[in-house]
Amino acid sequence: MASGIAFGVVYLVYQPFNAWITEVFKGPALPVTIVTFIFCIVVSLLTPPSTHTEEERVALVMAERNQEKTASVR
Amino acid sequence: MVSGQYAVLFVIGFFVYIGLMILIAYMTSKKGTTQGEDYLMGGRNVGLLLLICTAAATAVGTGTSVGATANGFRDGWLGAVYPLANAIGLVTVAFCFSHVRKHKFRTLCEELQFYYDGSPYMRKFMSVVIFIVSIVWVGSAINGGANYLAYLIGMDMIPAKIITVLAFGVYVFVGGYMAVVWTDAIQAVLLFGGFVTIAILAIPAAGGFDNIRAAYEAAGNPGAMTAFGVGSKGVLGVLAVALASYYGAMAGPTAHMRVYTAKSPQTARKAILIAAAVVGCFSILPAIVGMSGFTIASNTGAESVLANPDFTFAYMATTVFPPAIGLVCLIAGLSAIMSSADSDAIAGVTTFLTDVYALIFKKPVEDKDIPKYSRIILVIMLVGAFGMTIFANDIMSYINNVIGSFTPGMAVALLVGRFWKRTT
Repeated sequence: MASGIAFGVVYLVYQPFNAWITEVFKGPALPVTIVTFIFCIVVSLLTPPSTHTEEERVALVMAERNQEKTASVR
Repeated sequence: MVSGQYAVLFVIGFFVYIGLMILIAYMTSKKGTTQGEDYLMGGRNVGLLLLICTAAATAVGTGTSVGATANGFRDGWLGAVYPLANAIGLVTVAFCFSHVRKHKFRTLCEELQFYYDGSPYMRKFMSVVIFIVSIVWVGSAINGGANYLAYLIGMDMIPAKIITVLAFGVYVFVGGYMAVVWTDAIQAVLLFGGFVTIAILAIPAAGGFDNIRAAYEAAGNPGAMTAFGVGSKGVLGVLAVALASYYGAMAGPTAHMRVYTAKSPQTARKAILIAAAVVGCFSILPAIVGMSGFTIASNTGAESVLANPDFTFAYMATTVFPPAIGLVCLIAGLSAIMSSADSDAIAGVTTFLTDVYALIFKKPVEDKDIPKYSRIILVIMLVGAFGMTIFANDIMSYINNVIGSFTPGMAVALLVGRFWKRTT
């Protein structure tokens, strides 16, 4: 997500990059898709895997909504 | 700009229409759906028909109607790409995301937290992003509606923006989410009816398809008549338009909110699929209107439209058709803008109260306080969006471009999170 935002900002701020992306890809949608996808996969593989079950993740969401302490979820 | 009796007719029709929307909101508020969380979620009991109408009307916003018509004007059948990709985005929501209805989420931030191992950081980060996105989208709708009014009746931009804000702000304030849903239902009928009418009448008005083809050939753009305007924009050009629209529909908070508020996961899936089919069928209409508008404007030398194709739809309604039909078409155009603006506004308010509020104040909003706080945030949000369009239009346009650039990133993260359990 951050990589997509960073890409978008660079695309808008740095004109030569903007011109190149527009000429080659006709817009930022396709390159942002590729960049974000790659970052998403790489970052996920470099970080510890998910540890919560579906029920636990729902409980974490609801705890966050109600601003409760989440240590008791697991 | 239209003049004389026609302008008066339009203004009267417009205010009657707004009055009707506010009346619907008032009646909705009397049904008890404005208490507690129900103000934002409609009691999580929205039925099939209402859900179809609201999902379809929200999908057909400024970009899918006025923007797609302008695309049709410039590049022929390219005009069908934006709404068609939007429909495919809805199909993705129906098949891939409707199952989360069972978890009773309120916002897309919560859904993302769920996909990303319950990470509160993901939720906090996204809450700020989505709230800002919602304000900018509401601001864009205000600009779109005001431009429309200014073109039609020559009104100054500031009063036109005030009228546009009030036009949808009042009924959202009064009735909350269910007012959005019910007014969307009326707006869906008007906007689809208006577009079908204008498209049916547009081709004969342009002298038939042979004339349309000849106009693009004379303008040196015969590729506009190829499938999806590929001959004019190229495959990558069409793909860029399609992806931008697809991601907006699939990863935008409004379609997901339809899932959270449906009566059941099955209702959500069925309704969004039917809405996608309606929007898919609708997709050829802006292209037809745009191409016909180009032909008529080229033949008559309509400089204002040739210089700014965004006015194609209003031009067709005011100069090509008789006043009564033109009025229906104009209301259809306004319906498209307002049906999306109200949904963006309520999505922004929901995100603020559920996610941003907790981020700032470290406590949730009490259920009984939700309607009161929602109305306060709605007013702040509308004033903020309005102020942005007045004092920081360049900044807003800039942020809008940034949003366009990173929405694909948000969409990819959503899809990967949904389908790859290893994602973090």
